[in-house]
Amino acid sequence: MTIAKIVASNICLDYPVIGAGNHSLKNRIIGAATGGLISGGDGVPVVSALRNVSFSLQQGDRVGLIGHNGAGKSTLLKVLAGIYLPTGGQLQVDGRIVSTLNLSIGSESEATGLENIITRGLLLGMKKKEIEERLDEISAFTELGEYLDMPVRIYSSGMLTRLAFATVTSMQADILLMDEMIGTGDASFIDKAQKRLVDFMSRTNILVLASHSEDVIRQFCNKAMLFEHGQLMGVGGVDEILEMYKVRSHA
Amino acid sequence: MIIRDLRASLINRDLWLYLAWQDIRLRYRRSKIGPLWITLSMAIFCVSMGAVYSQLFKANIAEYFPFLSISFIFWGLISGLLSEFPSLYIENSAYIKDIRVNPFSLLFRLTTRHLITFAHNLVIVVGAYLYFGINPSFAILMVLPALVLVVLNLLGIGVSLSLLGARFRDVAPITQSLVQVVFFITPITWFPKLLPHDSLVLKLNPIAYYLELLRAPLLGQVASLDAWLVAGATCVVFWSVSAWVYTKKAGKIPFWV
Repeated sequence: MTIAKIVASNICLDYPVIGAGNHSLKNRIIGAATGGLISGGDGVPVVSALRNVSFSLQQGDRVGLIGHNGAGKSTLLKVLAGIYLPTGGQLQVDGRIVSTLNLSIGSESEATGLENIITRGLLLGMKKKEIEERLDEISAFTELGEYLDMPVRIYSSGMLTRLAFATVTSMQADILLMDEMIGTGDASFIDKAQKRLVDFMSRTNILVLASHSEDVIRQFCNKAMLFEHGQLMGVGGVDEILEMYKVRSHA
Repeated sequence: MIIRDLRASLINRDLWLYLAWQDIRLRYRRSKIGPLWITLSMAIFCVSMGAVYSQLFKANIAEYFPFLSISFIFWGLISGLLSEFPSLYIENSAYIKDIRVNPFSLLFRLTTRHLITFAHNLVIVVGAYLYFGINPSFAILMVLPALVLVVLNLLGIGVSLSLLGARFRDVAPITQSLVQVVFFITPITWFPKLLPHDSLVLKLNPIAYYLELLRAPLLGQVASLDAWLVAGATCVVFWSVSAWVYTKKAGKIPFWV
């Protein structure tokens, strides 16, 4: 069993925006032939999405990410998930990471519900055997019954979310990354889902949750981090950081 | 970095093996004869090309047809991979943007899918053997190391080509038209013996060597030492270049797609 840990020191993320014109090889060649006059040199515009972010998280930390849209919360989650490599600084992440960043990935519309559970499980990093052991439990939870043997192209969006939700929440995560709360279903299902989600979140050793909802942060987190324009403005207790957020927003 | 990702992907082979098989299964799930279409469309192509071109070249059909069908099946594998490499990451962008995906898992999924298709087409070779009464010799076993070496070469190209295609969107169409040109300048539909032995078309075309390597065992011949040396050398070159490109640029994929 690994001891879950995240240590970030001065991580930066510069996001190159390869826009119209810059994508093509032609412009590169013309640029080279004309000494870079036409393409304006090697000027790929860069968005600085994270700047010198440092923090460390240990077992038991449940941290809420707070900040306006575009402040860097989701980018940080993607960096922690290993999707983006930081362009500067050091990041050490120990433990199995599960992210619920996008529940719609891995849906192959012609494949059956069961096949989609397997695909998603594999993509999340489970072994085939691990998934097969859990397949019954996952299928039972979805309450989709015979639909599980039908192609998901006939599913409603609610059914698709159930499928993804059930698979993700069956994982054993050391580090759980969430961008807003996930939830699904109609009135009867939503309680069941809520219970499963809370259970899933409490099983993980480290939780990083980005949310705009004060209530959610208060309910699930014991720590908070405030982001502004890609910079970490403060780390501390939930109340303290929420207060700081309010003050800075109104200032 | 390339070695770390390669290892991780090989350990986590459940993922790409499953996805590759699923690609094949899904493509033919709603068709009546399923994956047989792969074999059938290739067979139709080989038979009609064989009938017409053996006349054009005034070649004996018993010599021409096995040559053509074997060449063409291998060409299908090579060209299929080469033309799909550049768009690999773009097509998988939904995954790449939202989950940590090892680029090698995507490369291996694509390669496995093409190898499965290729295996379906081998039926045609068996058909040609039966029809023309060819008895394969033990030399046929040499096709296995040859296939491994050629696939390694293609993967070596694929690592760089897929990265290049993700960064520059023109690379995919360029590759596709180049692949078409290579089809005509490589001895696939015509015997290499129709050209003088020192022809540069054969000498400078690595694909011509790969095809010789793959084809010879199935035609009861022995591939030249040159073909082995060239394929080995290109393999080293492609992987060295790719190791460098990958280490420098693989981290950029999620920004590019």
